[in-house]
Amino acid sequence: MQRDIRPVWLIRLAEELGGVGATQGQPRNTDLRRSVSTGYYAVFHCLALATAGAALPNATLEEVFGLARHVSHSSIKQVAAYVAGNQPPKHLDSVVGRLRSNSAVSSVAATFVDLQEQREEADYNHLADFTRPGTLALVARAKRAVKSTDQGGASDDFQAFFGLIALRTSIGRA
Amino acid sequence: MSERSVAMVDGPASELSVWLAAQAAGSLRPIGVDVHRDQDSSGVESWYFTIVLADPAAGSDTWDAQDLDELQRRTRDKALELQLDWPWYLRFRPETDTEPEEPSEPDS
Repeated sequence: MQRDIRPVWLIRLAEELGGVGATQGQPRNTDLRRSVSTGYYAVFHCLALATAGAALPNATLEEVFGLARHVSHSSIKQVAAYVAGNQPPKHLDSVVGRLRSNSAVSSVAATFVDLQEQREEADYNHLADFTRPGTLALVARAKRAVKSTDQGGASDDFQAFFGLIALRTSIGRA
Repeated sequence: MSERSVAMVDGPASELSVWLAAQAAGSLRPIGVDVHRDQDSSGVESWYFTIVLADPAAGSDTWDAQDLDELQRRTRDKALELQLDWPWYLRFRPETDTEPEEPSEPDS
């Protein structure tokens, strides 16, 4: 059976792995690592789909899914980093400044940057340190990012954010 | 940690640490701020600010995400004002460090 990748379902899984609502004990370290990674992928897929949808506004869902496969982690990270504090190219100062003044776009961008970094640690760094509150803080921010993107994605600022990501995205032979 | 503490570093990172330790965002009041330098996942030398917070309130799994986002935004604006080199990252951890369970080896 075909089931598309739904960011909200990934958030639910990340919460389960992180032990949301658990009354006692601590989740296994392995579960905390998978929770961080799953929360990251929720935000990644949310932004990839939103970028593809913005680039192809009249496309079918199947076409959007196809284009979303070309939206790379590095493309989103580069643009999110501009909004989160990295110096953008000079001629993007104005639009990045506008996006930085939008609290919803700023939070989505910062959440992506933080999650991407901690996802790398969760998946590859044997010495990385994860706590349950710290992990669930990341998942809670991921949940807010997905909700903000779903609710505000049609706004001018989010559309500009997706436009910059689309410009960073190149269609290879994948 | 019983009172606010700040790790010792120089320059804008030090200024940002001191500033962070004095912040309040909604329910968040940093207890301590540790800062260290390391390579990030791209191999770029980066600043890591770990903010120690009081344990989440009884019945809460973690801290308020809106407050965390607010603190993140304010920190970005302060880092830009101080011209702190990018990249830098914020981490949050509780005052009480409890080792997650990994109770036994799985059956082989």
